[in-house]
Amino acid sequence: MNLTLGEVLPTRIFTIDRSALKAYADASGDQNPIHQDESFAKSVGLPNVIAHGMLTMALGGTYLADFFGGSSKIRKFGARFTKPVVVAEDVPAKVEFSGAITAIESGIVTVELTARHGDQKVLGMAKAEITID
Amino acid sequence: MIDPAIVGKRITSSTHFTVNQDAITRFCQAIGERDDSVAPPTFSFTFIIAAFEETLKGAGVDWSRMVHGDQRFEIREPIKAGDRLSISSTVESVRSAAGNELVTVRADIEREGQEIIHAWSTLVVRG
Repeated sequence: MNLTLGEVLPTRIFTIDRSALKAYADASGDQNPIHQDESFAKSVGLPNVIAHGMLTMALGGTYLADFFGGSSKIRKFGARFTKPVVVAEDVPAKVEFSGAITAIESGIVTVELTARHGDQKVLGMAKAEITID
Repeated sequence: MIDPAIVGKRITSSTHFTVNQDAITRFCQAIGERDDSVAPPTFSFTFIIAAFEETLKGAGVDWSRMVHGDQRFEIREPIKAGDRLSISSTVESVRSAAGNELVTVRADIEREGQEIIHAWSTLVVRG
């Protein structure tokens, strides 16, 4: 791949609706009701149902894998869960991913990943190291 | 309060488990990943969390107040269908910050005696 330091990756939007939360809950085994049950989520002080932080991170992984040619290229991946992604029944969340190449060394690129929902960054310190051919 | 004496505790699962293609495929479908020939980088968390729960058992963790603070993976080899894996988890630190309790736990995932993935989670018990 021909990549340059400072290069910015094309942005991509992932839509998270309630059915996506159910699918992730079933696929991951995380059936915490804060991700599916609106009245439960509100009873513990949340504004509404929130997405699994690991779902948001996984979508970031999909974003990177698509750009760099597959999940198997991702050698390191980390993120902080800074803000919850709120998913109202009739308002699917649109999370926009972008990335910038901050290092290229010995066939490994470092990407700083940004995930935004509205005006909020939902992941912090999100970074991956990816093998390039 | 999380008992600080838990730091350093390590539990290795006594049984191996085999990853099946269906689990990888369903995970891929749930995250918009079209290529299910290997497990996505965050897939291992689906079984890591149970290992962490076992390791932290009896340490005074209030799971009802737990949120996931951060997550990090180092992947030497991706997981594939048919892999027989074992997992060890180690409590690396316990600390307090801004009225919350934070515990950092590391998972080491082995395939055929080789460590293929390390993963670190900071779990936050809200005060």
